[in-house]
Amino acid sequence: MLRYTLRRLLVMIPSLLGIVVVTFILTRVLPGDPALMITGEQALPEFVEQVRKEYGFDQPLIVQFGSYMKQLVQGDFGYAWHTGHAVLDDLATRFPATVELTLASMAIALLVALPIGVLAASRKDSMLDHTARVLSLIGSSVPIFWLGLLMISLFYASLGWLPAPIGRISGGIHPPTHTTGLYVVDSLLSWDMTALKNSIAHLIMPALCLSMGTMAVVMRMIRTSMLDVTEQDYMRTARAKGLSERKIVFKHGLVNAFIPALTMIGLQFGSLLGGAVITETIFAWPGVGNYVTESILAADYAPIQAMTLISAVLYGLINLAVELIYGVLDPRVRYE
Amino acid sequence: MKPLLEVSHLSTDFHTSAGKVRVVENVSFTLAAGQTLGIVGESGSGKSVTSLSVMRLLPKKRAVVQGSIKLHGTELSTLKDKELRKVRGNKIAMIFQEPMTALNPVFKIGNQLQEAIIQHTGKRGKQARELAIQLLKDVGISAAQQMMLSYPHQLSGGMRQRVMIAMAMSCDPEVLIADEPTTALDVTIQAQILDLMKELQRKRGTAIVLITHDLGVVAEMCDKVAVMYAGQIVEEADVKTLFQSPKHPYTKGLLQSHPQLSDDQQRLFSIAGQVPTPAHYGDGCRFASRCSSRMDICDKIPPAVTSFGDSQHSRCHLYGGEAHVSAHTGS
Repeated sequence: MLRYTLRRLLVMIPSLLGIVVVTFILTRVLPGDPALMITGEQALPEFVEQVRKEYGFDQPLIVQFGSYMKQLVQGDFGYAWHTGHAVLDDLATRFPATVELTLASMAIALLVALPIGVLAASRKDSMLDHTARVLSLIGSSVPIFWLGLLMISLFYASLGWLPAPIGRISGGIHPPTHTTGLYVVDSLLSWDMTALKNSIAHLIMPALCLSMGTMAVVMRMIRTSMLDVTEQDYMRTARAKGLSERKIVFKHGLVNAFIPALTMIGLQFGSLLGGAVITETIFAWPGVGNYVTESILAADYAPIQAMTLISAVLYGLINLAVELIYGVLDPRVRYE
Repeated sequence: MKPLLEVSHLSTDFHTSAGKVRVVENVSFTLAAGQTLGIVGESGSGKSVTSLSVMRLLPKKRAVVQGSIKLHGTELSTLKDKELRKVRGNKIAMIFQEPMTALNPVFKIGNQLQEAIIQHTGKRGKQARELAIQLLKDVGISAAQQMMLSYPHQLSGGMRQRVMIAMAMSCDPEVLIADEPTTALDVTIQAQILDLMKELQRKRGTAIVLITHDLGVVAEMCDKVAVMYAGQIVEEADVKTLFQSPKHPYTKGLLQSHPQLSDDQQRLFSIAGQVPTPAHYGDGCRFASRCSSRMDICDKIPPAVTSFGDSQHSRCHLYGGEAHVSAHTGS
């Protein structure tokens, strides 16, 4: 398995190189003169020229690419001029926010989708099954921006149950001591109940919003594969043993039904980690989705390139992880 | 002898898109402790549905089971699910035709074997593990410790069926229902598995319901035989009587179509046609269309059961006639 993992990691390198090249070219083709964006529209032409020289924008593309690659292999993702920080420093503060949001929404999605998908399958064509199917249809078709605004107007504006949907924690409250960068985890680690409550209250709406799509897809997949599994002989064996229905369904059924859903969950996870642009924008969540949007609007090359590359790496790693989990769940799958 | 398992007037209906279909009709049999009853018939004759009906393993939404199933005089058909679970796998256990698919592919043998033990005996942890290892040794698996950690796909069909038998025997059941336990196995392995079942029966006094289409297996294993055709038992007898003087033309046909070494016959005898589907059973005898002794009455009136002594019963017009039919239609 170790050899398999290493080989898979090696195979990732060429595709990552390809991504680096394509992203580099695409960012350069985008309209917008970065030198002009840096200096501002009103700047004197001489000053714009000077900035262009300083950043190397006047060099031929191939030279620019060369110096970018030189930086990259040294682990330097460059400098984001629109924030004034090194890209890595920016990501260090923003990435945990995205991770926290992703994990929370994934947890919500799975906690809802798994049991409901299983129950819907075991009571096929019941009221619960029909409701689950309608919900999953709504979940996968409702526009997130609309749902987000609806939630804000209900839970914040009308009912006042949740704090203003701005960021990860209210202005007056100190963020918890930094350990993982995930506020909920950090405040638990430092036993800071005020921060914990407040950060959970901030997390609920965006996480719920973001979980809808995954929830809908996973629920459907689990339902379908569970229906499939129910027909299997080993389910009859389990029943003939006198096991309880719950044990039959959730042990013998779910593990088998979960295997095909795993790929879907992995893909979803990977795409969420790349930043949920709409959700982060609606809830002013300081994650990487927001960061990339700002960078694109500012024609800030370095962060765009960095995030694209990092997303690709994460995607590859998650897919690899999914495959390795397959091997754990299904003993018939072994990697040589 | 007081019967251990008593099945009477068992009927099973399936809900299909074409409406309700009766797949098993009015099946009755009894089984004493230590006895082996063979249920024989072609594919589609309702053997497996009968066994699944006894265990109430058919999906409730698709099948309706009527009739009475008594174990030690306790009615099973009216038991609540929770009570029934205490019987399944504990007092009545079952092994299936397909050992390749009957075990869950994602759990280790040890895990699956211990489940029934934990469920029914209250043994846990080390005790359950030791019992599981002992069971594996009992079914002739020498590397039992290693087997506990194996997954089903690592085993051959014969090994898997041994594991299934170990699993079925784990709570020392009074009745073992074996649904074509050797059909999917190589001939040499078949003999081993049958020997194993006989040995376990001798040691533990388990009663066996053996469902098979193989008359050779019946001759070797069974005390009593019920021949099923199109959802009904058409003949019932002890094994010697059945082989020596079969009464029902279908039984005769089955026996003739069994190859024998001494035979000089060039071609093997076969009963023409196929088992009708439940929608095409017709009004009269269900075997009429394939029967070589067919009479006019056979197409019109269902035959009643005629008894030959205490142990042989046959559902055929050849032995009854008009008077017999009218006398028995109420029963």
